[in-house]
Formats: sequence, structure tokens, C-alpha cells
Amino acid sequence: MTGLSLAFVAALLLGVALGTVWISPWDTLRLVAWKLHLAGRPHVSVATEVILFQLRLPRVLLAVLVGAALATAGTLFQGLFRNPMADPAIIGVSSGAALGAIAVIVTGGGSALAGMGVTAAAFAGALATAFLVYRLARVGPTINVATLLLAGIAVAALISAVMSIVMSLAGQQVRSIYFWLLGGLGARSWESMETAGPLIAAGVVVALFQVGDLNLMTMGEERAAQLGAEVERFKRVALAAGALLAAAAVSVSGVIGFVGLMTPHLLRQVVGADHRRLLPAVLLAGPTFLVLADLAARTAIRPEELPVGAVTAILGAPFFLYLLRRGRRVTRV
Amino acid sequence: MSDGALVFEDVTAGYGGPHVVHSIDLHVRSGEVVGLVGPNGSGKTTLIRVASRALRPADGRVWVTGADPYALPARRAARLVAVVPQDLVPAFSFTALEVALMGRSPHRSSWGLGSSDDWALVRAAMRTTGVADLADRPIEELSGGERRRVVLAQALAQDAPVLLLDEPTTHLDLLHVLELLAVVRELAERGGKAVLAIFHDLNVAASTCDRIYALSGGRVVAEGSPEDVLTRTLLAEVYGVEAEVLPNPVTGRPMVAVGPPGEGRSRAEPVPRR
Repeated sequence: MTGLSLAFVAALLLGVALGTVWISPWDTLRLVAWKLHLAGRPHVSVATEVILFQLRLPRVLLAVLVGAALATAGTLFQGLFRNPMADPAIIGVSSGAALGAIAVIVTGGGSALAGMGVTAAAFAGALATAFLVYRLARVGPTINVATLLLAGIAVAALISAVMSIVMSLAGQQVRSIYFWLLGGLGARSWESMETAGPLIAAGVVVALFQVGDLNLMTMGEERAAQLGAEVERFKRVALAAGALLAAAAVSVSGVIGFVGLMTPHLLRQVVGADHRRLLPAVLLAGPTFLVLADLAARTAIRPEELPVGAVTAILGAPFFLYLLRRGRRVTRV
Repeated sequence: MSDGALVFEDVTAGYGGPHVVHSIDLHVRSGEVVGLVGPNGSGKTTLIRVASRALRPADGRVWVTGADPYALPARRAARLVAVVPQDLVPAFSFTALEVALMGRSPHRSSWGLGSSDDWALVRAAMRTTGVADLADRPIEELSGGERRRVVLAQALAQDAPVLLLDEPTTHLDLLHVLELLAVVRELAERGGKAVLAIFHDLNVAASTCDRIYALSGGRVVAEGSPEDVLTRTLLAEVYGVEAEVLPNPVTGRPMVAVGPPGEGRSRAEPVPRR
């Protein structure tokens, strides 16, 4: 855990420091202290100040928020479905968000509302899809977890088909749709953090209260109940928190894959399966990974930017496969 | 309400379709090991599920130490009844110690790492079931029998007055069967637990139980001491087998001896299922 904390801090400092202009961690600390009225204004150029506060800092902090949200949602869903292949996309959240965003882009609402319309529509689409999938999987008072999984896959496939049709008819806007689908943390501001931040913080806090039940649920619903878990309530809470986290993340950053799937799976190999250790570890590792991936995305082929979703997959997939092959602790699917 | 740590009053239950068990009256007192025997589909596991708050009876009541478990929150109920399921494989790679420690969940908060009492109880439970040496091993690397004993340790760590066992001796080799049965007897005699256990092996049931309920077609067809229940007539009636019942030369308890079913034997008709 100490190692993870150090890596997290190092990633933050690197993420802020590196870019077209080098901003030393020392300058960053002094500028932040000045903003917080803890010190006088340091002798740093105005350009540096603007780059730090308008570009670097919001971007890095947004990566932290989104990384934490995706990784936490992944942990919740993997625990809920008792399946290491579950990720935030599995209950249709990502595709729902994408559909919401695309609807706005195509109808032109996005440009009128200067981007905020896309974010709000993505959020609404994500939550609406999660709710639909949840309703489909609910039989009487109980949620069948296997049905939930299948309903999520089916609804996601349906939405993907609709999106393909919309995109083939989209003409001019296809590039901005494509850009959105690839996911990215660029061109984001403090405002998007003000919307997503509280939602993500709330989701993470709720998740932190579920660690005991998450452990019990890995043994199956009946055993969890025998050991004192309120299973139906847990399923609702975990699903709602996971959907909220994923929706908030997708609405500000588009679809960024692999973080939610990989982070919990990978950390389980390191700190074990006990969620009381796993969730804090995931909360450090998810942001670390996304900050570094975003750093790579914006510095690799300067001045052009790579889509961060592609970077997470390029970095993530081989490492994931390596761990899978090494198989020190065998994972059953 | 008759006396007993676990009491079934006229319980009828099922899974939505036709009822699986009908009008069951049953009780287990503290300090007593009570066996459930009967052929497949006779309703044994259903009764365990009703007692473990997993299946609300369609009719009748269940009482656990005087309380209705279905009126309690899951956590409170889990402090009263511990269950040992037939098998348990967590979805992720927990160590044996972590699995056993989950038995303390009903007693502590979600983030509590456990008081020294919790740890002492879990360590003691693991020693009792002979898995203390396996504490740091991943649960999925253990053999079926070892895993079984880790799960028993988990249930013992729960420290509930009522213990339900679903075929506790399957997957175990002979020595571990004997050790487990000794543990179960001790839990009842010294620990004052009320134990209700499903047994497929009638000789194991006979040597372990104070009383036995024989089920057939979802009804209790006999109840009493092993000597009273495990009779030639009952075995013919319930299991449809021709058997001799002899005193076990080692324990003095009844011992069931059967040959292969076949020609020349008067195979009795089993009681029809309802």
C-alpha cells in the first residue's frame, strides 16, 4: 500500500510537470500554496500559471477522478457478479452514455450548449440504461445476477447497433462522435469536475461501506445471507453506486476501457481478494494508471494527442495477458 | 412453543411449485446432536434452508432460541444460526484464514479488522477443524476435504447457538470423518450447541446422533433414538432396501448392513412421494 501511495503521488507530480512546457514540482507546489492563500505569489511566469491552472491541473485531477470512478465501479461489479470479467460496461452504462452523447451531437444540441449538453446527455443515457437493465433483471423482489449480466449484454448490443446506424447517417458529425467514443480527458475544465466530482465522491464513499458484504458475496448469495449480509439490499446499493460512478466517469471522459476491468483484477494478485485491502488499493491504482496513460496520450506524439482509451488498452492489454499467463493465483471465470 | 434451541412448528415449505415438506414438527435442544436422514428428495436440505433463513415457510413457524429468524435482520439471525453448506468455492482467491475470518462478519463492522477475541476464536476454530496449518493457503488450492474443514471453521467462528450441517462428512477421508464427528459431539456436549445435521451414511448418523428424524416424501415418518428409528422395517419402508440392523461391535450403536439389491430379495415398496 505504501508503494501504491508513492506511485500515486509520483504520477500526480509527473502528470502535472510533463507536457509542452516543463513545470517543476517545486513551482507547482508554490503556485498551489499561493492559490490556497498559504504563501505569496512565487516568481513564476504568468504563462506557467495559466498552463498549470487551466490545463495541467484540471486534466490530471480529472484523470484521478475518472480513474477512481472506473476502478471502483469495476470492483463493485466484479464482486456483485462474482466474475473477474465484469466491468462498468457490462450493465450497458457505457453504451447508454455513448448513445446519449451521440444523440446530442447529431441533433446539434452539443454545439449549442458548448459541450455541457453532451455530458448531461451521456450521464442521463448511462443511468437510464442501467435502470432499464436492472428492471429487466428484476423478478419480484429479487435481482437475478445471471439475468442482469445477460440483460446488460443484450441491451448493450442493441444500443451499439442503433449507434452504428446513427453514425452511418451522421455525415459531418461522425468525426466528433468518433472522438467522443474513443474517450479522452483533453479540453475538460473545472466545470466538468464540479459536476462529476461530487457524484464520484459519493459513489466511492458508498462503495467503501460495502467491503464486508463484497467479501461475503464472493461465496454466493445464499452463503452471504447465512453470514449476515442483507443480500437484496446489497445488490441494489452496489448496482446503483457502480452505475453512478460509471455514468459520471463516462459523461466527462467518454468511453475509457480497461481501467475498470483490469485494475481490480490486477490488484487482487498483489494485495489479495479481501475487499478491505483491495478497494483502497484500487482507489490508488486506478487514478495512477489513468494519469500515466493520459500523460502518455498527450506526450507520445506531441503536438498531436492519442486517444487515452487507446493508450489504456495498449498499456493494459499486454500486461493483463502477461498476468493471466503467469497465473500465480488462478482465476476462475 | 415446545422447548428447544431450534423448533419447527407445523412447517410446510416449497419453492413456488408443490410443497416439498409438509407439516414438519421438529425440535433440537441445546447440547443435542439431531440427525436428518431420508432418501434423495425427501426434504432434508429444504428443512436446513428453512432453518437457515433462506426459505421462508409457506405455513407454520420456525423458532431459533425463541426468536423468529425471518423477523430478524440477516446479521442478527446469523448470530443465532450457523450453517455448514455442502461446498463453497469463493469467486476470488481468498486464503483459508480470510475465509474462516468471514465467519465473524455478523459480529463486527464492515471495516473492523477484528478484535483479539475475533482472532482468537477464528484461530481456535481452525485448530479445532485441523486447518490451522493451511491458514495462508489460497482456498482454491485446497482439496475438497480441506476446504470442507475450512468452511466448518468459518461456521464455528460464527459462534452461534444453533449449528446446521448439510452432509458434513462428504469429501472427507475416514480419519477426518471420525475427527469431525468428535468435534460435532464436543460442540454439543461441552459447547451446548444445538446441532441439526443431514446424514447420508446411516452408520455415521447412528454413531453420532442423540436423536434422528427420518424423512420420506417431505414428511417425518419416524423420530427418536437411533435404535428406535433405524429399524429393518423403517429402512424397507423409507429407502426400499432389505437391511440387517446389528449392534456395532465398537460403539454398541445400531449398525446397518445391506447387500446389493437384486433378485430373490423381497424389495419393499417405498412410500410414494406426494
